Parts: sequence; C-alpha cells; structure tokens
Amino acid sequence: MPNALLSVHDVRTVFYAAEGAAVAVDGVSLSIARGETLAVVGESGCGKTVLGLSILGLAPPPGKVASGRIVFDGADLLTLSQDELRRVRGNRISMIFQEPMTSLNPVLRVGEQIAEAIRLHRNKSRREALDEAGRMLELVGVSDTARRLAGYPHELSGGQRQRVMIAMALSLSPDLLIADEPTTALDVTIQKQILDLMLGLATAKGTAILLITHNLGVVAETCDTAAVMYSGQVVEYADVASLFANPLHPYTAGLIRSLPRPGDRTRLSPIPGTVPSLTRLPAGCRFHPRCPHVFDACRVTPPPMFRMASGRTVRCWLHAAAALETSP
Amino acid sequence: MSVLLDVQNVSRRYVVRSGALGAARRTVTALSDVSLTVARGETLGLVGESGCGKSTLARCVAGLDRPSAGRVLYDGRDVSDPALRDGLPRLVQMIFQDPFSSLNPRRSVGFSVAEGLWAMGMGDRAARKKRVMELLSQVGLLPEHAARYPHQFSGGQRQRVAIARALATNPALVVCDEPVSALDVSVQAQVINLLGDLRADLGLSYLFISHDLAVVGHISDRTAVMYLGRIMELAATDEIMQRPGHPYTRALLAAAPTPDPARRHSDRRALTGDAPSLFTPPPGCVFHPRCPEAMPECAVSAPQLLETSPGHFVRCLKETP
Repeated sequence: MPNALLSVHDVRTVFYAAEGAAVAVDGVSLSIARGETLAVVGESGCGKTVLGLSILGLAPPPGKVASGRIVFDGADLLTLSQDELRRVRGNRISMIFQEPMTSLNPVLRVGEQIAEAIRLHRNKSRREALDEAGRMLELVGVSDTARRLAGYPHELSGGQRQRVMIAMALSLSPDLLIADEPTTALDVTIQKQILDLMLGLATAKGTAILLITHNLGVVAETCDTAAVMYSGQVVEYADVASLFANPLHPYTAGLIRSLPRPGDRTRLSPIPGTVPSLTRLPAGCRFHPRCPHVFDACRVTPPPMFRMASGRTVRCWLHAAAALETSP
Repeated sequence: MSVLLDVQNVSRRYVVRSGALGAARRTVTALSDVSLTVARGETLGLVGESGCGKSTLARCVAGLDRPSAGRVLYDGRDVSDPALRDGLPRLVQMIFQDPFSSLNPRRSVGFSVAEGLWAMGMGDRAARKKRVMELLSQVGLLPEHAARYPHQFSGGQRQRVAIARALATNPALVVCDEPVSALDVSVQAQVINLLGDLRADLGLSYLFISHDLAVVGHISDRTAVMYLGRIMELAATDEIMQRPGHPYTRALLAAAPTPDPARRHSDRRALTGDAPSLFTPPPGCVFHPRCPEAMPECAVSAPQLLETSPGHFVRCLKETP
C-alpha cells in the first residue's frame, strides 16, 4: 500500500496472565490513507480498543505487542524509543476516548489542559498557548470561551467535555486521529453534533480518522472503509457502501440482521450463542460455532484472509473458490 | 382492551440542598404533569434522552418512588394505597439496564430468582425450586445454571436471569428500564426476541423505556416521547415513526444513526446545544431554545398535550388550533 499514512502489518498484542496467554489482537493488518476515515467495528472483547492503544504504544500491561509492524509515515512505531514515540503522540497522532471525564484532569482548568499539548509540542509561551486554546474551543462550537477556559471539567456537560477533547486532539493538526467510541456515552442528538463536528474539522484539516466503534449505524453514516473484527481478528475489510449492501462474512451479515429498525416490527434474527473466551478459542474458524453456513472445513482449519476480485478481503471459507489470493 | 396502568397527572419534584450546610434549597421538577395508560397485553414505549424523567416515571410506576402530585392507578387502585402496596411487588416488576448491579454477587442465581417467591410467601421450598427451573427454561437457560453465580454468566445471560427473577411472581406489568442498552448487538437481538416471546406466551404488559428509538420502535405498540420531564408526543408506534408530529421527535429520528450508507447525504441537520438544566427550565415550550421550527410565541406560552388526530397526542404550538 504505497500511499498509506499508517499501515499495520500482522500485529499481535498478547496479554500474559495466570490462565495463559490471551491474544487480544491476533494478526491484524490494515492501512489508512491521508484524509481517509476507517472504522474498526466489532462487539465487546473483539480487540478493537487494544488495537487502537497498540498503535500508540499504549497497550495496557500485561498486554504487549508481541510481533508485527506499525508503520506511520515511513517509520515503524514499534522500533521507536519512548522519547521518539512521545513526539509522535499528541503531535502527529492523537486519540479521543469514550468517557471524556476520565481523560480530563478534574483539578486542572480546561484552558491549561488544552494549552499543555500546544506548549509541549509547539514551544509556545503560556499566553500564546492559551490564546490558541481559546481559538480551538471556538472552532469546536463551545460558546463563552473565556469562562470555559478558566473553568473546570465538571462544570461542562458530557457533550461539551467531548468538544474539549476534540479541541485538544486537533489543536496540533495531527495527521491521524484515533477515536475510540467517541460518542457512545452521549445522547443521540448530541452524538450527531459531535460526529458532524469531528468529521467536518478532520476534512478541513486533512486529518485521517481511525474510528473505533460498536455502532454499525455510526459506521454507515461516517466512514469510507471498515474493518470488522471478531475475537481479535479482522474478518472482513471493505468500503462501507459494499459492506452494507453485500456483507461477505456471515458475522457481518448477522450483525446487520440483528439490528432493530424503527417502525419494523418483524422478529429479529440474532446471531445465536456468545463470543468465545480468548483463552478458550474454538478450533478452525473462530466464528464457526455461531455460523449458520458452517461446513466441515470451518471446524478444522482456521481460514486465511481471501482477497476477492472486488478488492475486498474476507476471512471465510465460503469465499475460498472465488478468491484471487490469500494472506494470513 | 382494559386499562391496567393509569398514570394521572403525575409530577415529581425533588428538593436539592446546596451551599454551605445545605442552606440553599432548590427544587427540581423531574416529572411534570405526566399522564399515560398501558392496556392489558400492551407494550408502551417511552423514549427520551438523559434527564428527561423516564427512569423517575418508571420508579413511580413500580412503587419505588412516590409522585409529588397526581396518581398512579394499577388495575383501578392507587398504588400508594396501603392495601395494594404490600402486594404491588408481586404484580409490577422491574428489569434494569445493568443486571450485574441488580443481582446479588454472593448468592446463586437460583436463590436470586426464588427470592421474590420467598418474600411474597409463595409456595414451599419444593414448589419454589420447581418454579425456578421452569423460569430458567422459559428464559433460555439450563437447570444447572441455578447453582452458579452472576459473575459466571455473560451480560446477555445475566439479563436473562434478571428477566426470570422479574417473572417469578407472575406479574402482569413489567417495567423495563433500558433492558438491552448494555448488551452487544447480536445479544441485544436475542433478548428483544425473548421479551417479545414472553409477552405473547404470558400475556404481559410492558412499560418499555429506552433512549434507542430503533429498539422502542421495534417492540412497542404505542410510543411516548419525553423531554425535560414532559410527554411531548404520544401515538401508535407506526404513526409516530411515519408521521412524527413534534419537532423533537423528528430531530430524534433524524439523529439516530441507521445502518444505511445511502442515507448519509440526505439533508439532516443536527439539533444545536444541550438539553437545558432541570433547575432552570426555559419559559414557554421547554424545547424552544433548541427547536429548529420555533416561533416567537414558543418562548412565551407553554403548549398543552393535545390530540391532533385520533390517538395521536402532540405538545406543540404549531399543532395547536
């Protein structure tokens, strides 16, 4: 992938625990071009959050990136020193989390927190950084910025806190923004405001977004491409229009069929069973115990990623015959 | 269909103390003149965002909280009537969002399911055990699950346990407060189907509360939309989805993300601003500061909830003759 801003190659993040090793991210590859919006979508425990943290070198202990390459603008992030990585984080890649209250320091004024990154990475004076923080707050639609800069996070509503996080994340015009469930804790009318704001600013600044979410509706409405994760692996990777029009993996199809739609009263078609534990994965394909199309090969041999003529990739034996090539 | 639950002009105010030694008192109106009914066998959906009062209403209906004004009638009798109060837990049950916090972690699931029967003095030990097995199988669990503890279950299974526990005393009305909001999509669909099956098999009525319009729209016969403690619109679910009469309902429908990439480019504007504080509700229509269709008089006069077509109630000056 020649023009990729970020490319992740076969990354494995392993958690070593008493019960054995749990491979939370197991051989994930993906790439994001400049200005692209990529969704990583999946249910709890699929490894999407650990993947986002692994990219930033922030996999929580005892988790560790055991193998793979994470190439950002030509440099392998996994080979950088802590100092070098710190210069990338916040400056060229920033991250937004689900619950802004846990990412904001409750005893620091809002203005100081936004200004901190500007001072650290841009060598500006405190005054200049605070002015810049005020401009960022205006940009993200927070009114009465002077009062907000001098105030504390608890004085803000959930939506305003997430606006502050976006202001912090975008204040240094990063090339890549990793947003982990940025609107999950917010009401639906506020969610729409925040998504519109985040995408609008990213488009204006040419920032690429890696959006981590469980919400297929959010994926459909905001992203260019999507990687669907299940049990630590990417099982399908496609442009968003094709993914929803014609899901190739039975898990993706099952997720879409599970969704209730307003006004549609017909019985839902859930995926039977539950996600397997990472320390007791089924043999063969990890989805086979829940799959409506399971056949003999699925129970024995883990499927590789099959590349289809359309350029889409899918980890499912159903597509073996039509595939052009395979990768692990 | 006969009326099972009749909520009549219910308001709930809380006094909040603040300042030094709690000297300052402020009043919050969490519910403001709410009226609705649930018929036998009916599912009434209640949708709204944080702070709209939907959980306060649920608590008043289940007898966990008492209205400051107005009445809640269950089968024609006031739930605050001492004669009914003792029996109310048997007739009205509740399912909460997070089953992990509503199940005792130190008690086996079988104990938790049987607890209501024991508290209500229903059946002897053997009969209660038999009933627990019956309930577990009704919600799709196995007999051996009775001896296990809540932490040994997945989120979806725990919600099944909470449902079994709620159904133990054969209630007629189940108040479901965000019962599937904490579940993953694939499991959420399983639990929604289970609730639908139980309603059909047992003739249950639900007051079904959710912030998720798609979930409410799927399961409810009629839907009420709440904002800042008030019902803004109430109608048959299909009617409200196809012909929303209130600008807030339209905004909710427009903001809900749908799994359809083609819808992305359609013209849907986001509401601006946050919901106002319950301490300082705006004058006039409480929605007017955020309403894209607001008129000057909306800032002055408060609209009433009026029937604009048979069975369709809207609280909006534009719909007021």
